[in-house]
Amino acid sequence: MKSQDMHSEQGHPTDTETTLALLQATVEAVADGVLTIDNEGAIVSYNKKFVDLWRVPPSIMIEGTFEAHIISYLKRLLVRPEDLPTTTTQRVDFRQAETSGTLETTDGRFINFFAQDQVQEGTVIGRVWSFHDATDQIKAEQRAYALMEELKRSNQDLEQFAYVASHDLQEPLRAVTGSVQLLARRYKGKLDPEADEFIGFAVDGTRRMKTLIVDLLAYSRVSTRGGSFAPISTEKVLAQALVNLSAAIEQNDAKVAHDQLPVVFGDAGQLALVFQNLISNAIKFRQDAKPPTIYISTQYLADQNMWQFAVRDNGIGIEKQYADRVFVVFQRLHTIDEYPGTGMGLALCKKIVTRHGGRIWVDSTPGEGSTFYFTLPSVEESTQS
Amino acid sequence: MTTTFSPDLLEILLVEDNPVDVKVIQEAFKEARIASHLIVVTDGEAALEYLNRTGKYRDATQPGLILLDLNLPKKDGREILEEIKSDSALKTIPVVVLTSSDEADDIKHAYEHMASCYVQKPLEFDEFMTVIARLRDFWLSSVKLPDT
Repeated sequence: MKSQDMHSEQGHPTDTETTLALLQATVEAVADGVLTIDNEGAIVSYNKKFVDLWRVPPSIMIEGTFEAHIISYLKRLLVRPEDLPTTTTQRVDFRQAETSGTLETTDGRFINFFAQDQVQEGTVIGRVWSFHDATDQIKAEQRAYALMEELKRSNQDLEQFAYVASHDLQEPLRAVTGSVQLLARRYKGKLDPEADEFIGFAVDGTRRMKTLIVDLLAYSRVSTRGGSFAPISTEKVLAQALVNLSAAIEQNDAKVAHDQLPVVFGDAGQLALVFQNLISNAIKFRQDAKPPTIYISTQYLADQNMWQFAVRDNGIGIEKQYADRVFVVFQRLHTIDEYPGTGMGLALCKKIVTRHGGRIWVDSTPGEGSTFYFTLPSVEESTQS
Repeated sequence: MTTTFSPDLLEILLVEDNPVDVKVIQEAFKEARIASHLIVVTDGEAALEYLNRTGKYRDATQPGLILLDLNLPKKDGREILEEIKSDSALKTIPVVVLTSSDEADDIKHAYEHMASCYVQKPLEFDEFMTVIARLRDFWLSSVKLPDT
């Protein structure tokens, strides 16, 4: 850019002048603060946003100021001056043709910078710096991150609390249970009938409390005491669950049939609990007139590289409005007298399936039966790239 | 049938801090007609004093079987087990861990340190009775124990 070329003799703008004016107008109109320097480090141009963003005093932005001077001014505004490269001429190799980063200013702003060579016909003729105020975005990210960390920590605290509480409640519960049971054995029928009734309530209460604590402990152990994941045969996992349920299956004349079941990636002990809870629910919530019939089928979901399991029963079913609620901790749909239990079984299933990266849900027709679905990670090589 | 189980001179040391559990175990011993003398100590230090015949237990006799709770005041059951099994005079005494814990780590630790078996205390008295009857049939009847 040589000044003698810039004006025609008539005083009308030349093509070059028009182009430069257009360029300057464009640079003023971009979202960023822009600074252009030549190969010697002398300022070629800058826009108002650059001056405003960095609050550069006019004494610095004078003609002939060198890049190094401006950069050292900018560095004084930074929490970590080393984040900003001293000069672009530090660059020794072409791979560093672009530099970028985020700067934190002492007045609490975050400014993203980007610097790139200006290349004309294959030759580097200078360099363009652009700066963008990213304070809002970065602060929002920091807030989101802090919230997430806080949530993670409070979840961990809660798990730890549930674990310790349920664990430490066992000892005092033992004391109460042991005492009322000894009382029942020694004094049943020796006091008045009301005393027997009270002792009966106490014994019953301690039994219920015991199952609550055991279930809560199992729930909190899903994440605090979970085993590592490995390829496991769900066929074997189901077999284990059926052994554990053999008494209930026999008593209810239940029929359990299944497709050939796949190998998944998971924690065998926990997945056995999922099958065990779903099947024992199918037996517990049976219809009086029909022996429980349970069928377990699977389907490979190629798009997710997951296996979907379906546990179908012919039980009493669940009304639609409760379909999500059944997975909530301690949520029960029936009284203790109708169906025993703590309301933890499906919450436990959900926690285990979620820990495996899967989902669990139910599809049900009251009076006909329910199908519980859940997904587990496949061990197949993912077809997704 | 009124058979009682009292192998000669066999003493059983119960290390248990929970007074209700002590009562329940004593009651179960009575129902199971176990005539063996049951000595109760309620913390880990007392257990070691008893076994080493020190302090107030200078006149103690060596027990033929130890029922050991894990969660105890002062020295806990895990430490007691380690000390018993690393003591040449005591390590031949079978130790039955009898605890409310079902933690995998506790079970592993017990067997690693040569516990003879690990039994979780049931909450129901009837189940407790079953456990005690089995311990009786096995330790006081089926097995041969070394001389104390």
